[in-house]
Amino acid sequence: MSAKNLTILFLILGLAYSINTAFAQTMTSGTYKIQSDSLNFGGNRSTSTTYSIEDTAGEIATGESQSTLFKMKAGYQQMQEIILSMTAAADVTMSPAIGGITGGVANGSTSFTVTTDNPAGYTVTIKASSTPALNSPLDSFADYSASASNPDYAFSISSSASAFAFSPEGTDIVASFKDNGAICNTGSGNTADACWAGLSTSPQTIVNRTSANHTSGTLTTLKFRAQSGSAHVQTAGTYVATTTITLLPL
Amino acid sequence: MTAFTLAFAADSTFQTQLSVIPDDIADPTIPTGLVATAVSSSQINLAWNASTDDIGVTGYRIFRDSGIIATTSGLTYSDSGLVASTTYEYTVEAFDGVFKYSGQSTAASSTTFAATVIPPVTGGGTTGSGYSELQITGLNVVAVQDSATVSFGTSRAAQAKLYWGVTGDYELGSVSGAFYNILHSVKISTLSPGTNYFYKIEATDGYGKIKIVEGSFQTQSAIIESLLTNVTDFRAIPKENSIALSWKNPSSSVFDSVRIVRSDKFFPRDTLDGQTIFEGSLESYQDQDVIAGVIYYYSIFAKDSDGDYSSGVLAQARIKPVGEVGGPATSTDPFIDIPVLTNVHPAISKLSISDFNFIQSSIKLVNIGTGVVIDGSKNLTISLDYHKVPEILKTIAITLIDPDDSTKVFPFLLRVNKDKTAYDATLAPLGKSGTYKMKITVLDYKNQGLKKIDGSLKAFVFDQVKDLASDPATFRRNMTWFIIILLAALTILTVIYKNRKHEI
Repeated sequence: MSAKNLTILFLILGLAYSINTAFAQTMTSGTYKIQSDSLNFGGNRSTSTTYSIEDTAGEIATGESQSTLFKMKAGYQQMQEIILSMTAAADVTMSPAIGGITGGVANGSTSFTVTTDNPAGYTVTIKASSTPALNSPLDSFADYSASASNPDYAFSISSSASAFAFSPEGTDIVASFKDNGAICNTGSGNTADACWAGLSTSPQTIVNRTSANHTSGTLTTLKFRAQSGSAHVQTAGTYVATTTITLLPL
Repeated sequence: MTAFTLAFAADSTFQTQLSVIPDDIADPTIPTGLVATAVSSSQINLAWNASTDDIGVTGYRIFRDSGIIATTSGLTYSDSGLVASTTYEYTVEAFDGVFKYSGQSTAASSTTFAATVIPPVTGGGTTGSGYSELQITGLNVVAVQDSATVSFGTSRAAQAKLYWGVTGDYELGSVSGAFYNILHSVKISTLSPGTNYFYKIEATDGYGKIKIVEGSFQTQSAIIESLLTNVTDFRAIPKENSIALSWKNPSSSVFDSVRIVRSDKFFPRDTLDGQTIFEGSLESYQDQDVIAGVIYYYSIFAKDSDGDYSSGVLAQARIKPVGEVGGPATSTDPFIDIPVLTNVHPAISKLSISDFNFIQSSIKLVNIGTGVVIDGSKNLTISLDYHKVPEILKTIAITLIDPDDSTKVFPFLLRVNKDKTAYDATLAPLGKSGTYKMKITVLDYKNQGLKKIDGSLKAFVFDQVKDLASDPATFRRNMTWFIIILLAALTILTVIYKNRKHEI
């Protein structure tokens, strides 16, 4: 073997040693999710306390492939960006105002539209920033407590209590908020102003879809209801609930 | 597959806001410390201490010798144009934003200074020390829904001008009398129903002396007939393990569905005051989520295509526990056993049957004594003017009793309408002639009192007459039978006649 051939051999062995093979993997955190599927050679992974980058020396079978049935983007560290968008939910002013002593019922709603081309779909959660959710500086409405494990079909509280609840409505709401006309988490109906639950600081899943809905998107309406019973005294003031809805890909 | 799929999460944070407001439970406190001080021969100044109220004091009414002379938002008032050397007595009364009044303060009196000599205006006439101030007397205001007539007299011939408005600025208009008169009557038109108006009369005599009187009045609330009636024949029958509810839906074209709300405390006052157990357009429902021995109170509300609900019909039921003998079981008049408790709000206490409006085909029916004559084949709307009862927690219910069977009762609610002009209910045609006993019950939750008013509805139904005239098939059927019977009678008479003739 000539010196030239030996040099080539060592170069090949050296390159082979540095190959970093990565099998299909998914990286997630509380707020993001990266699905990666790559077979690479060469390159390295660089990390710091705030990021992690994996680079590769090369990849085979790159480029965009397409037929009448599919479209595939593949390539050297090529990223397929899923369109996943959500319109902002507007602030809600509930009405009418409730009398502090005589009590009453106030309602309000907001909505958002999620659009994605992710064939795996998406999920939406809701959570409050505080417990209980609806507060004034002096008083609060209790988070609505359903009588069983499922949301209550009808909003109902004792005359000596006050409570605040929400109810999602839309084609992609989760089964627990669907109903059969009398009971929630049963049937496939989506009766208006039915199936009420209380907010929590822990995320609750309210929407789940396992397919793309690009380009029309899907509208979800969030209804809110607060009631102060006729035998309950609610301190007068302005009550505010800060709520966050989070959209995640599946 | 050799690609990354990247999708970031998205957040949206928003705020939900709700206002809880103080209720206007209390009347304003009575003003104190009223002082009247004469400052001239024609003016007395008033001052008093502020009142308090749970929603804030809006203003004060000033009374002179028991008559209202002005309203003000301040704590002082100057009463001018008075007669010299005359003693006047004043009181003030506070009111809040919904015109709840405190009641009048302790009176304060003052006497104007002695008169100064008024120089003659022209030769002759009523001038000088013999001159007397122009007076407005016999003031009377009759207000209906859209107009008001203000009548008064003046102590001598005067020309009067009337100003009016919804504030003390009298911003809506004015009208002047064309001649000098002693008796005056002015009609104000195009007013809004159920609205409080302020007015000012400015009378000027032939010597240019002016007398001003101010006041306020309220127009009557509008009478509104709903197209959607309550359901009829609502019954709650206890079974062994359930309560069977049945009813008849309204036949109105705007009917959409019904909602049944249940409570084990008392009858739900509205569609959200309890547990909704049924929504739909059926005419029966089995309530199986029940416990023996518990009285369940049901209110059923018919909903129209706009999402508005009828006033509500009531029924109650209780399943007897095993072994119990007697005790309440089936649906009866729910208010019959509740004793009258007289400590109701004064406005509720003075209610009578004449305060209620009975309307058919947009016509207000005449109340004769304790009863009203109605057409039993038409919808009937019963309403009570919103301002005739206080804005406190209350239930207004009416029970009608069948004229032929006193065990058949029809209890229903009067609920405040969308415009907050009246508490009303619209009933489907009663469908049967007779005198229906009518028992009106007003529950005053704030004062823990109950007011009952008895009356009657005299219903007339002319269906049979109308059937004969309006249904040709019925008419032909009846005529056919009439002819058959007539021919048969003639045949029998002919046979009898022939037999007799043959015997002779």
